[in-house]
Amino acid sequence: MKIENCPDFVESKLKIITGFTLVELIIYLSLVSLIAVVSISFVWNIVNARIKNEANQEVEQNLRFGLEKITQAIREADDVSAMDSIFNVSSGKLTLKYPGKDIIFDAPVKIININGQDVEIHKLRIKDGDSDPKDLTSNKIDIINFKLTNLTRGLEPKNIKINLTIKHVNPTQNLRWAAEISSETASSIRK
Amino acid sequence: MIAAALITLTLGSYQSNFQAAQETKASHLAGEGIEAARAIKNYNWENLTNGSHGLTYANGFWEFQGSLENIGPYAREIIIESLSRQNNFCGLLPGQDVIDPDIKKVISKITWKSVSSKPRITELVSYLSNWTNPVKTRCSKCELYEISSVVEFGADTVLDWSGKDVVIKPGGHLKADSKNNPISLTITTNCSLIIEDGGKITAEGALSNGNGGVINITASEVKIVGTISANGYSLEPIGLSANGGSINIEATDLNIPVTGKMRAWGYTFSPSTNSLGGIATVKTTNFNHQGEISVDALNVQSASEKPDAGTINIECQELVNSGKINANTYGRHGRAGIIKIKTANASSNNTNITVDSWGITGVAVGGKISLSANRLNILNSSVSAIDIKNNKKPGIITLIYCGKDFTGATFNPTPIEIVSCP
Repeated sequence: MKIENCPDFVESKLKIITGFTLVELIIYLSLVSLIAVVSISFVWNIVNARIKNEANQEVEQNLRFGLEKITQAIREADDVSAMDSIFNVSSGKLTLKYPGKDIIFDAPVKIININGQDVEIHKLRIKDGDSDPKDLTSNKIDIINFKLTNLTRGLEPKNIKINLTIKHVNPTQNLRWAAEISSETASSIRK
Repeated sequence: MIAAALITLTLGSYQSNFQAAQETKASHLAGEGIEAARAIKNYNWENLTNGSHGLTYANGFWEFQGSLENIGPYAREIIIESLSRQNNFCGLLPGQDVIDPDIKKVISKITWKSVSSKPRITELVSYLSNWTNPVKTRCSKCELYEISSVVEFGADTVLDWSGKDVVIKPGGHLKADSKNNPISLTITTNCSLIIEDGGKITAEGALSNGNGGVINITASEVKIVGTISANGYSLEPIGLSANGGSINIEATDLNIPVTGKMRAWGYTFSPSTNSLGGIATVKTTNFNHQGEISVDALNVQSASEKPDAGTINIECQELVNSGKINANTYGRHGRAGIIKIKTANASSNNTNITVDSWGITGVAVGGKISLSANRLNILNSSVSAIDIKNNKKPGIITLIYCGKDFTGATFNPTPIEIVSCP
């Protein structure tokens, strides 16, 4: 828009000095800061949620795998050796009789190293005959209850109840890694 | 909008993780319920009563208690239902025809509330059967024909029961007994003949010098849980004999469980009497034998003459044997009988095959046993053909095979072994 009775050089000078006021600037900076804080907070929450989910999935997958492996092995066994098993304690042991071999499940202590720090955990493991024991749970998992109960009646095929509680290893007690799950099931010998 | 989306995503992720964990626990509890029902069934089939049940193991074993069980936020219900079959027992279809007493449907139902308070259900279904001690398992296109009373025949009789599954129930008795003249009873069916425990088919001589008769059976499947006998009996007068008759069975499948008996004895208390053992002949494809087949001569008076035991002939494809097969004699001059078993594969365990003579005179002699199979397994068993009192005139045991396993078996006398491969 042309300014009446104003020379051109004056008009151009006036355009140059037009800009934000201090108040506008303060409002602008406040909004930008607010958005940045909210965004960072959400991103942080998402990162935390992802870690939490990962921990939850880890404990759930390990629980399912461990219980499935034990119940399947009980079904296929010839017998349960009550003499060589340990029932009704939180760190139980199950010895299954197979033709020519035993299969043993237990949850002994194992020391693992996390970020240069030694951490004591219990690992669920299987020993198949003469072979070396193999871990059934990962290094991220601590077995806090592996209880076996013999619910066999009379001379009938053995029935074993299994209680399993596991948690994610969390030496720094960080809430993001706090994940724990417990479940119970039972299995009978089929023979 | 972006914030709302992010919040929804975050919370949704938490929720789905929590629900997955709940589902996992519920499926484990449901599996435990099925296994508990199986344990209850294993102890006593009758405990698997229809209806909804809770579970307890307070007494150290699984039991039903109440109609529901609460485990934390979960409720577990074991539902037992009967199943019916079609008349011929071949199809397993709910709601039809006849209830099968040997099978139950077991539903392990877990209910709980999700994070959003919605009711959630996990169910596992299994079918448990009373296979160890079935009340009644029948799959046949034949009509069921049950005999529960005594049916007597006074002359030679032919019974054509084609199209019928004949079941001789406890107390049921097909009786072709005669006082003097042996008579025959012939049963034919293209279906099955089952003699239940307590059921009988007899063609016996009466208790005074009566010879045993003849029993002929032709069927697709024969199961003898009770008794078939063609015994001869003699009490009076002196000198008249009573020989065992003959039993002939032809079937695709023959099953003689542990209580089953197939006897053609010559049986006398009279002095100076010869009562000879009879004949038992079996022709079958599959023969599962746990009971007793005997054609003994049981002359218990010391004055008896030459009570020779009878003959047993078995021809089949597959023999699984853990029963007794005997052609022994118990008279003082007795000569034991003959047992011939010819089969493609024979597997015997804890069996007793004897043709022994218990006679006390020099005439007493062991009998003959001939066992022939492509694969002949005789484990932990006794096979003997000897004269027990004198131990002077043993009989002969002949074993003909291509492959063998005689672990834990005793033979007396030492057998003649012939290796013959096809």
